[in-house]
Amino acid sequence: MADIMIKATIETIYMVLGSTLFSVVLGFIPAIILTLTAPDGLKPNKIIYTILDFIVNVFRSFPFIILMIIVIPVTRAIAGKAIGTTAALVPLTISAIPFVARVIESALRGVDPGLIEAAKSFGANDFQIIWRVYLKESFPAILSGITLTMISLIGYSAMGGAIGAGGLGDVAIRKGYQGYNFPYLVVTSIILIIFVQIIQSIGNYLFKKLS
Amino acid sequence: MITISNLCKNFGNLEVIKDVSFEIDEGDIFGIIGQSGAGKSTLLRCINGLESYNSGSIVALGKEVSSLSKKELQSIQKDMGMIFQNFNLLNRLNVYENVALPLRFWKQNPKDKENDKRIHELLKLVGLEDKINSYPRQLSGGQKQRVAIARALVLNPKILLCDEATSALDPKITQDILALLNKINKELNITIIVVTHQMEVIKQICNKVVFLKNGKIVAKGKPEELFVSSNEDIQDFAGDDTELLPKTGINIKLFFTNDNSTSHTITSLARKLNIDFDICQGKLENFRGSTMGSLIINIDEKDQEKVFQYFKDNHIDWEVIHHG
Repeated sequence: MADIMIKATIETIYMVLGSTLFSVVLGFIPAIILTLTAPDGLKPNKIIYTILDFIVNVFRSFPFIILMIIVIPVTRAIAGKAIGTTAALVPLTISAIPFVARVIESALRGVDPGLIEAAKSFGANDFQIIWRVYLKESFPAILSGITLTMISLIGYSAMGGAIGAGGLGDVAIRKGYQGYNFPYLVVTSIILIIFVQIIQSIGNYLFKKLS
Repeated sequence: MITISNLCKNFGNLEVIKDVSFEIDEGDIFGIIGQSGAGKSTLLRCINGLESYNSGSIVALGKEVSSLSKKELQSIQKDMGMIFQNFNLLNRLNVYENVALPLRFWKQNPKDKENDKRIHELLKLVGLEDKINSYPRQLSGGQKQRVAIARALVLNPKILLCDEATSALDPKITQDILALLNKINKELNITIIVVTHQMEVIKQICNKVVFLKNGKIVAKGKPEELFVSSNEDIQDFAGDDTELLPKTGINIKLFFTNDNSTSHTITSLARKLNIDFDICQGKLENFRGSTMGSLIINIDEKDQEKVFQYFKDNHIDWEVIHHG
């Protein structure tokens, strides 16, 4: 049991860290576009904002288990196969991008508009305002959004077990649920709870320290 | 230095600035006063291009603001520092980095010998050398505004724009900040434009003022002229309460400057005309160090001819306050 658990734990860490990394990198782009084009943004643009806002909402409303199946062709195209830990990174990342976009957007828009105005009054350009004011000032809020993302990705990665993604969810479903082995369910759950606790504590600590 | 002519600005259908014209000269501490919503902050933002305007013209530092390209606008903004009611400091930067921020916008390294020296000098000027590594949350309101002032001066501007800079501060701290602004005007020779709803601010540091109401200028001139004038809007704004004055007889408001002393005029009025009257209200006000006073007396109607003549002969400024 220990060997299986260690292997599954490593797979889960791999999936969570990997998809967090990709989704944060990719989620930043729509987040910044949303912030810029919002009615009170630096470059208000109703059309772009409305369309992007809609797309983000659509992707956020997909239940993960359905999204996972729908994107199988995309997964194949990117990862070369539809099953396995690495392949699971694709649906996990896709599902987390709109989530990340939202949490980062809300962090950026939480920046006091007075600071933006002050920066403008000193002749800052838009890029400098994003870099030196928006991102600088909202960094703790962004980190806490990323913490939130990681925690939901732990949940999603466990769901990935249903289609053979590996990791703790896979063990829980196949050994625990389908194999009627109750201890597996308990142990995987405990490990997942510990994960969430650790990530949340680190997130809280960093938020406090940086803000 | 700044010439504004026939300026108009709308927000949708709402006219916020209506045909405003005035001039600001180098070395002025120019006041723009009015109630909230009078359009004064918007007017200030038109000057440094944070807001656009619909018609009219603003020529600042020799350039028409609305005709500038983005680059040119940024360079004119460099010549105009700005401070705000809520200070607008970055919470995650310490005092030094906050002051250095505009330098970074202009791709200058704050650690360069000259820039570093300037930041230290400015922090010394505003009296916060010992707070150089503190963060805004560790500072009081007055200290935050001092940091904001140092930040606004770091690019060596010619003009300092103050948007309700003392409105969030208590009276004592307001005094200190005003003294600092005065010092900056005199020692660094920086023209200052002050937007405020506080009469005290105008009286203490401004040499010129425009009074804005519903987007229009209703009065302009020297503060001492404006506040002793009989302009209804200004008296209303200042909260001069004439309701409590006697309902019978004639109420007369007398104005005094440094030259004629209050008590002297009044006692000799009684002595020479041999009449009796009541003294209803009096106050002394300080305008940039010179004292201005006003006194309201109530006389009998039968005495009015000789009293008016007496004022005329003695060159006293006065007006009759009519019952509201």
